[in-house]
Amino acid sequence: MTENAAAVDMVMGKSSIRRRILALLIAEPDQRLHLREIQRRVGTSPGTASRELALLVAAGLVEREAEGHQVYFRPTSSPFATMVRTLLLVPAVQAPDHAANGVAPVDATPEPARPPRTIRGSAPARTNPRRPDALGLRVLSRLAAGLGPLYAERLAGVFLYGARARGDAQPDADVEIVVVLNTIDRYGDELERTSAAFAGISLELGLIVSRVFVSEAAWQSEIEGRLSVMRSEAMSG
Amino acid sequence: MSERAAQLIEGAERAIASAHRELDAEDTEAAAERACVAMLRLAKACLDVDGLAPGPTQAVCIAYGSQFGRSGRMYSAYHRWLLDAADLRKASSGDLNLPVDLASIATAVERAEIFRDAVVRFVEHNP
Repeated sequence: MTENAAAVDMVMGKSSIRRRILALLIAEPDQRLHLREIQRRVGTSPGTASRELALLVAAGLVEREAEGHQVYFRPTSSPFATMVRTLLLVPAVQAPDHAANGVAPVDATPEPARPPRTIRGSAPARTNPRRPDALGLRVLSRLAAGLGPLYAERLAGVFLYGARARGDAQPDADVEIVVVLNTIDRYGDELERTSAAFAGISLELGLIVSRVFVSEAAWQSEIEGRLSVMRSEAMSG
Repeated sequence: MSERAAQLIEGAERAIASAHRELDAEDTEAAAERACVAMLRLAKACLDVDGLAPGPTQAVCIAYGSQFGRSGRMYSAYHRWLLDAADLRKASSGDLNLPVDLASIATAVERAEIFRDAVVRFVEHNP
């Protein structure tokens, strides 16, 4: 782990471009991508993409392959890269602080959406940015504040997914929430625990605020199917 | 009781019976779907009393919440049970592959039966 400390710092540092590049490559581990495609999909300049890729190659997280005039990149299969993949399974639209005190009322007044903290998945194209809508984020924040004390250490995350996370929701679209727990013993118990909170917000807003419960292991490991789509929606915002 | 309300309640009865059969067959997806359908039909029967006839699941849940969620005309938990049944149906769908157990669905079916009894009383007293 010691030899990886610098790389951990680097990966989890403040460079959102670096994270997005790595997330992009990890999301498609069986493919190699060339510099221009990475630059385009992440939405940055070629120079920045090249500089960040060089750092990722130096850290052993990405390997570089030259073929003719093209240079391709792909994630390495080292145990450290696998660990980083797990670390990066943190969604863009995760609630900011699920341990916050109190449960504030949700303000349904529209406000300009803020950009998501994209960590995993394809970055939004510059010409068509996808941003979670403000109402969805406020509901997410409020629910997370309530679920934090309720679940304590069992709660691994609360995420927004679906149309409101993608940013293409109609005004009456459901607010769809994923609650990730470290274990789920009986699904109905989780519904019951959260029933009043979700029904209350639904009544207040005149919308459906739905939830699904997912185990942390499934959330992190599923690589195909609806759950995988849900995760990618939540993460790409 | 209006003809439409009676039909909806009958439809809910059939859905509950079907849910029991699916539970016996340990088909969680089908059982959760039938339990949810029963709840939706019963909610529609209540809304019929108010002259409302929403169609899609989303509209039924919102309208039921608006009319009965906090009004005191029906036990407020029924609104929660309706939403929970819809979420349980979603979780039980095969493409999500979530760990939904039979006992949780059996609870949803029991709740549909309790809701049915309450709805029958409600529509009979509010023709």
